[in-house]
Amino acid sequence: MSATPSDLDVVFRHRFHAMGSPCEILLASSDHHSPAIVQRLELELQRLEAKYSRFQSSSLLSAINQSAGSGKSVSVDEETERLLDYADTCFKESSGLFDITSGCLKKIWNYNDLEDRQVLPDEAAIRKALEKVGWEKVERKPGEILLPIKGMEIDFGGIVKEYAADCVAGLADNLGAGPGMVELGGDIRLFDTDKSRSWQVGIRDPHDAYRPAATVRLQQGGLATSGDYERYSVIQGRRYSHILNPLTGWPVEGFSSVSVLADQCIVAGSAASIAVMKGDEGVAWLKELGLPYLCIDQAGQVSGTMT
Amino acid sequence: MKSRSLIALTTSALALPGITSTANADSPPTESSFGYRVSTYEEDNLPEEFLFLGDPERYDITIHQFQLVTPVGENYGLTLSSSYESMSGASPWYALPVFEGEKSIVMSGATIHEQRRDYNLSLRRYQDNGNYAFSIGTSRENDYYSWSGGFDIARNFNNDLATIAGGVSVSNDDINPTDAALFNRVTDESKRTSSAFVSVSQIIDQNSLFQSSLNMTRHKGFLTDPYKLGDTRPDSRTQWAWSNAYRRFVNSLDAALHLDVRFYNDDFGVNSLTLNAAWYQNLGDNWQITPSIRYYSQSAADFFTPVNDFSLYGVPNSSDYRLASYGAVSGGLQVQTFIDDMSLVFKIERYVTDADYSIHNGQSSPALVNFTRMSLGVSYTF
Repeated sequence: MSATPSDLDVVFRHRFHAMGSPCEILLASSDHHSPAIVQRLELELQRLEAKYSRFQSSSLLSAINQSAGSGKSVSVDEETERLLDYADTCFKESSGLFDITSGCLKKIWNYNDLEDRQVLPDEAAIRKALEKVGWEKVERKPGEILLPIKGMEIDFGGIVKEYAADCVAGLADNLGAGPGMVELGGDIRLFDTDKSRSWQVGIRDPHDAYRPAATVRLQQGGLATSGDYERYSVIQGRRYSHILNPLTGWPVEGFSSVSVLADQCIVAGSAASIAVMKGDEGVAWLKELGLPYLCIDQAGQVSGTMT
Repeated sequence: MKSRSLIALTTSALALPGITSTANADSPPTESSFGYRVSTYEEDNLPEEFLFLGDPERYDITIHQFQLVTPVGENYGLTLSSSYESMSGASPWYALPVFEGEKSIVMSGATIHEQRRDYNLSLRRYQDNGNYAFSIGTSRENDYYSWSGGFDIARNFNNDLATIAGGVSVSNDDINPTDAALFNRVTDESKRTSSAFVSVSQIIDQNSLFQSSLNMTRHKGFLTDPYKLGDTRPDSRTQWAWSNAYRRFVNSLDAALHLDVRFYNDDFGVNSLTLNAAWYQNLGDNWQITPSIRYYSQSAADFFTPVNDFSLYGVPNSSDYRLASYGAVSGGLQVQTFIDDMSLVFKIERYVTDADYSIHNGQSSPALVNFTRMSLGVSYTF
């Protein structure tokens, strides 16, 4: 994904790597405070990464996952509590399709291995993995969470990176950064917006990393995309999405990519993820939400309401 | 109207500490829609045992309603609505003293055929944090002409989770009863009505909403029913109504509960209570079925007399059953289906009233009326 503001010149651009993704902060105007402001924004991302990374063993998320099956609950702070509430809302609104405990299914589908495989995972392995999946199995009390089954895992994919974009935008506003944009691995949030400015954003083609499948103009809010970019398995010549249905354990067969525009990037992100999970019913879900969207199907065909 | 899922996600997102709000613009309609509904309202005939004179057949009313909503420019929405109502039947004219087992109601002699045409136009401006509208309307019957005008405004707060609204309206009615010379009825009377409201609504959480509103209406002028014999009412009436609504969506059942409570009081001495409950059950993506139940109770007006006392000429007195103490229970069932850009709705409602249903004081009337109402509607978005 690439973004350029169309009606103004970007005078300050900061690129870095955080939360497992390439990131970029663009400010529309620059003065001697700009370097300090973007440093502070990057620090905010580091804070969230340190707290919610699955790969850092010192993170709060790792502490929760390591406690699974021990019978002991883990204390969580206000921010984490609200993120778990948000995940709960997504679970309910998607009738169980958006489930932050579905991460352990990914292991049996080997998404890190892009080599062509000869065999699909066997049903017994999927069934066994599914025993460790299910948000309804998680026990919550105010300020506490308990994962009752050993091997159970929480993964804030589809929530935390988008939330981080919203946090950065809010902080940028508070710091008086002026109009700008943050992009975290394809998820975008604008800040200090007004109707006189728009930003032109290219939505990457899921089948061709270097080509935009569509270009949209944003004036406000957050744009998030969910799809099988880069992460998929090719098994016996067939492409399997990294997005798994937590009810069946199988990859979903729906859109290759769905982008949604909403006031908050976190809402855009979960709306897009749920649309992909819903497969054929994804479009009905997007229409019901009434948010602008853009879908790219497996054949590369683009459709939607976003212009 | 925002999608319920979007409200759920947004409310949940706004509870996160790192998320600051961006005020949302109220959005005008982006598509035009047309709706048509036909309703029939059929009063049960007056039981023979109460009828002294006249035609026992009471009102049958058929109402045709049309509405067109269309965007105008980027920030305006225009609503044009019209209704055509045709009435036939007889309504009680006066009530006589009754002795055990005798008949007491006199229905107005001939069957009445009446038509009413209403037109209303409103233009609403949508802004970043709310909306406002001006509206005008007229209503005409062969013996009656009314015009009205109004203004209302709504402002959103707290990330659109709270809305405060208010409005004022005025209307003027000119009344020229038919057959005035024949029945010694009034001619050229008029009535002025002014009303104001304030309301506050708050989204409580992702699945529930509360709204409360206060409405005051003041009528001045000729408030008597010119077609009732011996009917004399004060020349002003001030009405207060406090309405409260609670909506709750039940995720697990894909259904919504609507509860409404309304308290009413006026200086005719009428107090009333309305309780309403409805269950909106979605069935799949295309059907919705809604059973509802309503209870209503009111006290009698200070000057209500169950039988006309013709010696009270010029002093407020009325035997109009609508000013009597009574209670009513009604039950309804609505079925709605959505097909692409079209929606079809059918509703049937049965209303039963009785003096004994009232929890309020005052005398009741033998002329209380039961009715059945049915409506069929279609709306189309383009």
